[in-house]
Amino acid sequence: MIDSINPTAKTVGILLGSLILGLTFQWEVNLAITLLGLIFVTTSKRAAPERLLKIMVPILFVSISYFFTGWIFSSEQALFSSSQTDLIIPSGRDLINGLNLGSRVLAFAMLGISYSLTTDSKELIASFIQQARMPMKMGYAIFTAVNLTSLIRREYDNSKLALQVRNIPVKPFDSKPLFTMMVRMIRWSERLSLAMESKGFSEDRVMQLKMTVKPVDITFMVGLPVTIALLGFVVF
Amino acid sequence: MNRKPLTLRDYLLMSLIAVVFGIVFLLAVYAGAALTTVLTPLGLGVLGYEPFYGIWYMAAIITTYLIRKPIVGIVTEVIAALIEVLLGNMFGVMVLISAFIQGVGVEIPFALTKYKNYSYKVTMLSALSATILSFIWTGFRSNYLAMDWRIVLAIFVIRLLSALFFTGYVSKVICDKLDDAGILNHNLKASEAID
Repeated sequence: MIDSINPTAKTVGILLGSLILGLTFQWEVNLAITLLGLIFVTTSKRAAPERLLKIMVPILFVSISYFFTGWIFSSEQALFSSSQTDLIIPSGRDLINGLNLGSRVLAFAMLGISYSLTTDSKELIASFIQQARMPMKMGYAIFTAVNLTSLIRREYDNSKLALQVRNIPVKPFDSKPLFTMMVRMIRWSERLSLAMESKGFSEDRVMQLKMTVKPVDITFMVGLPVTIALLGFVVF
Repeated sequence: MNRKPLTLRDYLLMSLIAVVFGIVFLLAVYAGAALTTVLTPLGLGVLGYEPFYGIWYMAAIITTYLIRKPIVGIVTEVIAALIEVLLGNMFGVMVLISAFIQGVGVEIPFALTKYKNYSYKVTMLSALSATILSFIWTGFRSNYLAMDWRIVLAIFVIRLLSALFFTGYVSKVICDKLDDAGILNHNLKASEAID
C-alpha cells in the first residue's frame, strides 16, 4: 500500500509524523509506531527481506546502546517523570527510562526505513521536481551522482592505491586521497555539465515520468501525523 | 557576494562531492559501530559515533569554499541526505532535517562575512555553529533530557572537537591545497579574499 503513495506526500507525512513523535516520551507510543513501521515495510513489495534484515541489525544495536545509556545514566528529571507511571519493575525506574530512549530510536528508525525502503529513487526525484518545485538541475545532478556512486568508489580506492604504490602511507580518514578526489570531482562536474548542456539539458526539460497526487496520498500525508498525535497525546 | 544563481555545474559538483563524502561517512559508520560495541556494556554507547561527527559537515564547508555562493552549504547537505536516502539510509526522511540544520550551521559564519572570508577563523566558527545546531536537534530527537548531564556534556565536547578537527581544520587544508593547485576557476584566491 505504501509503495503507491506519492513520494512528496510520503515525505511530508513521515516528516511531520517523526516531528510529532519527537514530542512524545512514552515507550508504548514508540512500540506502536515501530509496529506500524513494520506493517508498512512487510506489506511493501519494494522492501526486500534480506535488505530489511541488514538494516535492522545496526538499528537494534543503536537502540540497545541507547537503552543502556538511559538505564545506567538517567537524569534526575527522567527518574521523576518515570516515577509517575504505575509500572513497577524490580530492576528500578531507570529501566523505564532506558526503555523510553531505546524504543524512541527504534520508532524513528522504523519510520525512516518505511520511507527509504519503499520509495523508488526515480519517482522520488520526479515527484520532488513536479510537486515540490525542486530545480530540474538539482534533481538531475542527484541522479547523475547516484548513478556514478560505484565509479566514484572505485576511483577513491584507486587514488589510495596510487599513493601506496609510491610508498606514501594512507591512514584511515587521510586527506591525501580526498584531495585527489576533489580535483577529479571538480573536473568531472565541468565535463558533465558541458556534456549535458550540449545535449540540450535545461529547466524546460520534459519528464516522461509523470507523478500525480491522489486523494489517498493526501489521506496518508494527513492521517499518519494525526494517528501519531492521537497515540501520543490521547491514547497513551 | 556572488548572487548569481546556482548552475548545473554547481549542482553536479555538490552532488559528486556529497557522494565522495558518503564513501568516507561509510568508513566512519563502521568505525563508529566498532566503538559503540565496545562502549555499550558501559552505558556509553551513545558516544560511539561522536568522534566522527565532524566528517558529516565537511562536504558543506568544501563546496561553500569552492563555489562561493549563498546557500551552497545547505543545498550540499540536503543533496547528501537525499543521496543517502536513495541508497537506503535507516533514518530516512529524518536525515533531511538533520542535513538542513547542519547546512544552516555551516553557512551562518560564511553568511556573516558575506561569503568573502574563508580563513581558519571562519571555518572553525562554522564547525562550532554546526555543532551547536546539530546538538540541539539531536537533543530533541534522542531526548537528552532523559540522560545524565555528564553524558550530554561529553556528547557535546566530543562532537565539538571532532567538528573543529575535521570541519574546521582538515576541510580548510584540502581547500587551500586545491586553491594552491590552481584548479579553482573562481576569480578570487582565499588569501586575497581575506585581505
